[in-house]
Amino acid sequence: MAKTYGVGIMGAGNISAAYLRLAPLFKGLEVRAVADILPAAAQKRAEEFGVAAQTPDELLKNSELDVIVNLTIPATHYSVSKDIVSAGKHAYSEKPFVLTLEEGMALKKAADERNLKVGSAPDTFWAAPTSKPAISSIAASSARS
Amino acid sequence: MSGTTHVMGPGMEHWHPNPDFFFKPGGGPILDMGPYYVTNPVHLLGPVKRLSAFTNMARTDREVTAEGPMKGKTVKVETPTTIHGILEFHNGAVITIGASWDVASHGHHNIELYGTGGSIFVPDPNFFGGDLVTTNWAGEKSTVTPWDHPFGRANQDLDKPVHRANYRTAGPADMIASIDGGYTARCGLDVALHVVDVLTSLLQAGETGQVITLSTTCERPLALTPADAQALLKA
Repeated sequence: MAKTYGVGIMGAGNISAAYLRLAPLFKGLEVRAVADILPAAAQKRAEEFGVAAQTPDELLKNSELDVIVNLTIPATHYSVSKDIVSAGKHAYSEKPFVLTLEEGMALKKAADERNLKVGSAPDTFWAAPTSKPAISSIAASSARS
Repeated sequence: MSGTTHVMGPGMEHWHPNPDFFFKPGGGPILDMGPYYVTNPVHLLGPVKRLSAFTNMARTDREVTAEGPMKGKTVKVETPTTIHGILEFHNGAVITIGASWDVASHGHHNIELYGTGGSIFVPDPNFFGGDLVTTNWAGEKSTVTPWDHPFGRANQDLDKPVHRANYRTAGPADMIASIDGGYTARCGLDVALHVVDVLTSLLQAGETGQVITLSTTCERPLALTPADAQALLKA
């Protein structure tokens, strides 16, 4: 039996509901907690989806979590993902995962040093445009270009 | 091979209760929606080699009309709200990108690709699923027969005219599977870093008028086959 990764959600805004609602479809992971700088927002989502409500600091230190999904605002994506990696956890961020190339390089260095993964949305278009018919159509046209 | 990607509309202040961050540095249509419209072409065509762009903003102040705490207040615009750029890919493809929050309506498809065999209209990259339409040189359109992709199956808005497929968390699931699976995650850091390089370079090119050769690159990410997608889902 493969390991189940504990997942925390940082940021209880609009898009967190989609992640919390759809995460149970996926194997290999379990959302266990949600945090927000606004405790009431975290509490609301936590009650809605039956997970724990925590402060951002508690989430980072939560030993039951291997991955934290960063759903904060773009201006804080970098600093929060850096904190996640510094806390020894894998980070997955909503887009854009950083706002400058320098931030991205720094995050890569920090993640590589700890052998951790950093991932970023979007994942939305994987079903249709990467479909086999699309790829063969493009291959057919680019082969003749 | 060439093409266009367009993400243009009237803006965010009409629907988002707290839209101010969209109009500050780090927001703007190119950083907000551009990730979809650059990442999708990178998945289809591979990495970008160089680019140029021109930018402007239609208004320096935007009034929030969405219901919520900001309603009636004005947001100062501090980043371009219209960006028109040209991307040259390593494979030779040239793609025009248009991103704007200053557009009432337009007639472009989300993403159009033009090859010597015909054209491809790629569906909205902000949603799972959608029709893939191709045309031949006679201009005859055909919709590629939808395959039974697990992430293309409608599971949202089933009571509304347009059914949506939504499988957010696919990204984290793929990243987690890649840890023990020994493959490069489709949403991995190198792709994301290259896309941010493209997006910020478009803004920089708009400021300086320069053609910018990108300092980053990435492997074209793996396609997600139906079997790959099914493997991420519970039975």
